[in-house]
Amino acid sequence: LLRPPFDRRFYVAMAVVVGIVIAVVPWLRLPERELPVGTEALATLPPWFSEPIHPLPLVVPADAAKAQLGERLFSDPILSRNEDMSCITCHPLDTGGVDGLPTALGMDGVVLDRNTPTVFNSGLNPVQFWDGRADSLEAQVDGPLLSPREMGSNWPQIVTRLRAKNVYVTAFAKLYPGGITPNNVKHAIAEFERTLITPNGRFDHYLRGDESAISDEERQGYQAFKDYGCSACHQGQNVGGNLFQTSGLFRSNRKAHTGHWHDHEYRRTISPQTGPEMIHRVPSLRNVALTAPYFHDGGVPTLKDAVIEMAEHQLGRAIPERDIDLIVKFLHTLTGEWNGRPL
Amino acid sequence: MTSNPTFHIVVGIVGFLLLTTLLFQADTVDKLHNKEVERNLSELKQIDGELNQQVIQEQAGISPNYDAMVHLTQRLNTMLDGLTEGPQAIYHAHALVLDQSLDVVMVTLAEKVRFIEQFKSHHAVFKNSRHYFPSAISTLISRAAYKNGDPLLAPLLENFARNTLAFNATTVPDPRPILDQDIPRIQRMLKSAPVVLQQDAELLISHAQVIIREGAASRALLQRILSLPTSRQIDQVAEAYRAHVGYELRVSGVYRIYLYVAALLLMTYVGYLVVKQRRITSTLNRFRAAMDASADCMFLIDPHSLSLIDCNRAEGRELGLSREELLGMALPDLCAGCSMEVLTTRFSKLLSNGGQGTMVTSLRRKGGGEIPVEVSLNPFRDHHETVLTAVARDITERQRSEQLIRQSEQRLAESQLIAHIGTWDWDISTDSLSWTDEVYRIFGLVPQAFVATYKVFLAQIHPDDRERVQQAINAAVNATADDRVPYELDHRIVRSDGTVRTVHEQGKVFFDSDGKPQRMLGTVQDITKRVRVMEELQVHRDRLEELVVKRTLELEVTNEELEAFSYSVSHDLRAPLRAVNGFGQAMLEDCGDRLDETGMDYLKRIRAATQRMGELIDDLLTLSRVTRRNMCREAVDFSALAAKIVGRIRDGLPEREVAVTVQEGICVQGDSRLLSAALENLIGNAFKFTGHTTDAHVQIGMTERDGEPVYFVRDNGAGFDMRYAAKLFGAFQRLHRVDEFPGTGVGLATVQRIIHRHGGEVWAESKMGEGAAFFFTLPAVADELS
Repeated sequence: LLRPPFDRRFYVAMAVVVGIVIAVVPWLRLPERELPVGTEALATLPPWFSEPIHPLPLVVPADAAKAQLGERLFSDPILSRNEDMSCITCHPLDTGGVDGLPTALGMDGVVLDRNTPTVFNSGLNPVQFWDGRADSLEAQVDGPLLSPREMGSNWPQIVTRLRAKNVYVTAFAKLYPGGITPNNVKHAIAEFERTLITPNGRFDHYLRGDESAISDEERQGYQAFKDYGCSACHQGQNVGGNLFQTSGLFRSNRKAHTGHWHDHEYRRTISPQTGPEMIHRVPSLRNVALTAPYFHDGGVPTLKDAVIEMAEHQLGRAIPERDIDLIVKFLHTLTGEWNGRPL
Repeated sequence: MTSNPTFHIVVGIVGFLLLTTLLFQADTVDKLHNKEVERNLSELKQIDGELNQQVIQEQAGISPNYDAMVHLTQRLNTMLDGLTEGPQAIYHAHALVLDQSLDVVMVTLAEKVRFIEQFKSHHAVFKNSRHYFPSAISTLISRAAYKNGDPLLAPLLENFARNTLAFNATTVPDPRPILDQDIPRIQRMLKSAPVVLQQDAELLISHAQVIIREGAASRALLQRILSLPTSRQIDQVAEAYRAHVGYELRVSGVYRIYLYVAALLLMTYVGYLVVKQRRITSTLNRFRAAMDASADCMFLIDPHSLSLIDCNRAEGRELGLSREELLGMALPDLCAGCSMEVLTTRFSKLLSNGGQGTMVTSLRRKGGGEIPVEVSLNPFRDHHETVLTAVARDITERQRSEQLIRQSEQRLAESQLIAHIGTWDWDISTDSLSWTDEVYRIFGLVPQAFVATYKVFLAQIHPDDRERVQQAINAAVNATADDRVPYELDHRIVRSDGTVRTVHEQGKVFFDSDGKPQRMLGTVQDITKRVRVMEELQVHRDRLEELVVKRTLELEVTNEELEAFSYSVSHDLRAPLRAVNGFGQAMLEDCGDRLDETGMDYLKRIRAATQRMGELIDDLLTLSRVTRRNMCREAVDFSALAAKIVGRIRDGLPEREVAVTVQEGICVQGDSRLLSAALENLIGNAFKFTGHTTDAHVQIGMTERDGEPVYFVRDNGAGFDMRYAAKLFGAFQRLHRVDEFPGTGVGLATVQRIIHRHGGEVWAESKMGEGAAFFFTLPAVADELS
């Protein structure tokens, strides 16, 4: 310390250089602040601007590699306790993302309480499940995975099994800083689910301005859909899915569920008369033609019957059969494409 | 580093500027952060406003769907999550205030989101029923039954419908009490009406109920949503930020690291200065301690005023003055007999030369008296001025010891004079030769009349000896480290008056570490007298030696004659003896019958005597042969030789049972025939003297004495008395009677002679009745040759 090899000019020069570096570098590194999103003027309004239904986005931002990993996980049975079920068991992607059963079958053939919601476009829903207890796709993963009646697994087990497979170890190590962890597994699955959107349905083409995309009858059906008030709840990009509603506002012969209902305070206040167990997330009507049977208990096998029941129970009116048919026809135009192919 | 103060000032200023810059930057960053927070808050406020707008639009039936609302609530939630990451460097109390205001706004906003969710549900239902309600009325009115029915029903229903529809308008008073009255009335009236009408009316009523219930709920929710103080609370958060965070130093990320580094550098620098200062102090203290410990007086003098700047303790001690007293004093006050002028000129000369100087003076003591001192002066230049360092050494002691040295030198010179020993010291590199007075005297010169050199020395030497002396000196000087020979010789010198004297010279060369001769120190002693005595002595000695040689020659001749005589005697004696023996034999054979017993006995005795005499002569011959025979040295397998002899003796004595051990592998240098003869005697003796011993055992081998091989023949036979050991090896000496152990007594004499001829030694050890051991040595060839 006391015998420096340099003379003082060196130290002065060094001090000056260090000073300049210290003084200049922070200014270089000051980040350019971006303008807040959403301030750009709505220069041109899209043709669907005033419609209750908006077309699905053509692409959803998602990490392709992570989604690919999620796809693998989505169909891997090692996520279930008995290694005999995967996500895809109840959400087969070739049949509209649902199993086609009134209520799903859980582990060892146990009959579950509710009808399987489709996994398609679920990323566009702000909340998940019939009772909306999960506010993200990631949070939703825990539900079926850990439920003792469904896949019956637990995270330590899942993580152990995944770590035993080289393909997962390398993939996670490459994509996630923490490697295989519950949160990363959830994220990968959710990332894949976010890519499951079905744009380019005929109705979306119509909304985008292609008048010939749907027939006259279908257009009349859409008009009836709006006129009878269906679109009060079934609206937005996902034709529903973004609010809660009481089942059987006017009349109901459908049983309340015995299973556990997530008990939001605000859901209880929606309909103090019926109680939380009859309040559901309004389901999306995208690809509705493919997701029979209908309603939370899967009690209605055909779309027509579902429309009739909806009119009676929720709208408090009987709709003439002709209009029912038109609405059903319209609903068929909501079937979209996935991976460039019609569902 | 440098001791220039400007440098440290520059470094300090640079460090200060750096820190200031960093502080300004930190402040800027802080402001930027605040701006960002403010921007976030204003964005939050904007979202909040947009949500209100959406809710109002929904209430007014303008918005087509809930996507925008959902999108806004999601953005709101995200922003709320981001807001919880508050500032990190902030006073705790202020952080609490901020946290509280943030908590409040977050709770309110969460409540708002919840209200909006409820509002969506209620309003969707309300919207539907209100939408359908007019057509439900028109359906009812178009019924024939309605037209033909109770005339009171129509106005009632109309009123009901109007009130229901008016419910949504905020300007009219709440119609719900009226509706509550009307509904039972309508239901009552309809009891008598047709079924179709009943159904239509029930539908109308239930829709009206929905409108009223849900409409009221959504309106209430709208009020609550709009009346939530979110905007104000967001402002409060912003205010809290401005109030508490804006004026505090908050440093984050890279700037914090820079600050730390700069602070660390400054601290290191300050630490460096402190350490340096400490080192300087401790160095000073050490020097002061060293100075104080010195017995010499040291002081620093200002060369212009000649006053003392500093001094050590010795100075005060010596002079009986305290340091403080001394420091005020000027040099002329201290020095006895040194005026200001003298000193000034002296010092200025010293300074202009820039060199060192010494002066001898004396210092005044406080109580009177003077101390003689030698002062060495050194000008010393530091950054600013020149001072003189002075070290004054008390030379009282030195003067005394110089006196002593002079005395001792005197004594040495006198003693050299007495002993006629001079000392010289030759510095080889400079060729300066110093002689003590005595050397000059020995060489017949006047002491110290001139400076001696090697050449002068050479000139003094007797011409005949000069070369020898030079050689001896060269040998001593040029000797390598391995073979340094002392220089010692006698030679003659020629004095200037022509007399020749002999001197004895002794010297030693001193070499440096490289082996080069540096200096030669020596003595010269006049030994002329001694040499003269020695020469006389030599003459006597030579005469004596001549005498000895003469005598020896005479003796040798006599000896040889004696030997020849003994040989011829022995040899010539054999013939008559053979005659006596032969005729004795003839007499025994031819005249035996004529002799009586006594005659026979005498005859036998005569024969035995002649035989014995024959043996004696044989042995004497052997002995004389041994003496005369020429030695022929060669390598001899001692073990094999011994074994061969043992075998031969065994053959001669087949009745004897003797255990013989011969050590294997012994080889010696010697004459094999002579050794064979010696061994034959020794082993024969061993066999002989074990004749009366049961379990006779003979051992032949080698042992060691003083590192020299010793060969032995050991038996366990009769042995002998050690008192007679000296006689053992004499010729014709016997320690036993012949009838007990036969023999001539020449054998061991022969052995001794053989061994002596080999240059060896022979001796015996024994105890009566316990056997005897004969040892002999055979020295190596070199010994014998030398």
